[in-house]
Amino acid sequence: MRNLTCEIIKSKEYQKTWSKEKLELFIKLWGQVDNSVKFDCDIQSGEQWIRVFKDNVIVGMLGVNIPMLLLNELYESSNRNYNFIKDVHVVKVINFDANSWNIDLNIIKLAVPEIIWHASLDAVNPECMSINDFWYATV
Amino acid sequence: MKEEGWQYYIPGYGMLKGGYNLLSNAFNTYYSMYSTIATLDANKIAYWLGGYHAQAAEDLAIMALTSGIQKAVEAFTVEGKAPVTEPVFEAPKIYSNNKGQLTNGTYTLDAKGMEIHQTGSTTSGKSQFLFGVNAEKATLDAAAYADANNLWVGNKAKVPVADGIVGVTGSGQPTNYINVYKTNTGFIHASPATLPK
Repeated sequence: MRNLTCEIIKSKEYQKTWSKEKLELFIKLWGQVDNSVKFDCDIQSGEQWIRVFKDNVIVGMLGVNIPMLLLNELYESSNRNYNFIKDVHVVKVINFDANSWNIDLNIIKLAVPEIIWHASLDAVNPECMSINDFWYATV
Repeated sequence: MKEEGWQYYIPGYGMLKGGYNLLSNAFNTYYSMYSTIATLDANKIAYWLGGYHAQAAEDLAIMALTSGIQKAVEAFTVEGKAPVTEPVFEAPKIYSNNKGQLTNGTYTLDAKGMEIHQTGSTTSGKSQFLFGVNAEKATLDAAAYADANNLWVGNKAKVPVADGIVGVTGSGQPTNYINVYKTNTGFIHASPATLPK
């Protein structure tokens, strides 16, 4: 089981330099490096994550308000120039559907209030969840 | 132009049938009612209705339907000139499971997930369902509709709502679209969504 709490707290180290402009630049550069990726985020509805798809498969999730990138390990290891991926905390993910993560909601609530958990415990078990579950609970 | 036999399939509503003038009038009525929120050109509508661009006509029909065309169609219905509708999507029955959660048999509503979009305030940036809208039923129906129409992109679907405005976006814009989010175990919650680009 991997600890997502630690990863989220590590991302706070980049928080001071994270901005909307940086987020937009990040997305722009990513699209230039790999024009086959598609981004999905309904910011106007309040979504907190930009999902990145390649060939209809999710390869990444980038925080809107926290500088954290959950990135598919295989995609990350493909032979491309990813120099633009900086100033964010990168967490490598093997499978976005694998229930291999846990999170301490009490710590997150205090340390990273930008993340608002709004799923019931029936829907998502914070002690055993997937990254897609985490997205569902915090989107 | 033919006066009879035009028909357009409108997802979630049915087959709209009628003569060219009838449909054209209905769409023009819609256009006059909603010209401020849709930059549609009446000539293009007529052109699309001519059947030359079926996809464009369908796109228009979806937009028109979900933004108020029903009212226009209903007005013509009253006059006895109506296009005929044949519903093709029927939402599954909703009931409470043994935990008291609303379900349609496939999906279970995550009521806690809905709360953040039912506070009545957009100050958090979260879109809000309107008071009086049955957001729970809309969410379950939208998930079923997404299944029926292959709208899921990963675990999210953007679904048009035929009943009209359901909420406002975080910036206060009225919307008749819903984002539905699901887990792999079938729990869902939703938010009023921005209109598709």
